[in-house]
Amino acid sequence: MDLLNEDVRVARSVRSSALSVDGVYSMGRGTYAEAATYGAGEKVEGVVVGPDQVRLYVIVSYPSSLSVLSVAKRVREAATPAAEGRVLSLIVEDLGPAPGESPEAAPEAAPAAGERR
Amino acid sequence: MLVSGVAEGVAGFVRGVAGGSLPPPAVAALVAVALIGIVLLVAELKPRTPRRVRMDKGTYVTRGVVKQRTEAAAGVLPEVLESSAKVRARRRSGAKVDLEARVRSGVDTRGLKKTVRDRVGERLGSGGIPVGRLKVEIAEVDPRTAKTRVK
Repeated sequence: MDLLNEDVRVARSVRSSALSVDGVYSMGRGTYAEAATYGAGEKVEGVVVGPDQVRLYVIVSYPSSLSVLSVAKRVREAATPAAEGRVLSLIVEDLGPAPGESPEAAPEAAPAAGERR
Repeated sequence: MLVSGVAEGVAGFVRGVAGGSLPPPAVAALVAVALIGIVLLVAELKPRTPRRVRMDKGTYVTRGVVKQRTEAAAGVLPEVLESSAKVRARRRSGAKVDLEARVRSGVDTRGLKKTVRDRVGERLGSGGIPVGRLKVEIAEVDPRTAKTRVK
């Protein structure tokens, strides 16, 4: 139970670090399976915490003043300390609307986990 | 009864192998089993094709994103009525992209191929979308059947 709570705590911390970066539209949900960390009555979407690694799924705003690679680098810099020594893998899952645009203006979204286009 | 029958058959087979007097179908079956074994071994040892496109060490982008942005970049050109891209991930950074751009008949396809490759490569590069190799094919299409009839 402590391990689960620990994973959820790390997941929450990584998630909030990632969302604080300019250019990140939202957390991703995973492509083939739901990307989330589960705890007691809680689920942190977009982050999968393992004993040695953390996988982080994000949706990046596009177009924006920063390139997708620059945003990814900033997310990595922000989220690495929150991963507490675990190896961080970052996956840009999709592109969201540019900052200031409505969600309807988003580039055609990729299908979420379990869905087909 | 069945077990002893099978055992006798196996014993006979082994005697045949030891004596070097196997019938041709048995030899063919053994060769086929050996070949299947080699194929399975190679398949098991060969590293898997990656599913995601590597941007940097530990940073990936999905093939869907690369496909989406490539098609959008091609669609900006007025000559291109519609396009479709196939994206494959590589073990090193960057994707392999095969882009088919459809244009109306009568367009100078040779010149346009270079233009499409340069413009798409530039747009993807400026957005930070990693493309290692971009192959462009131009296909002529009847505008009446294309998604975009008029541009």
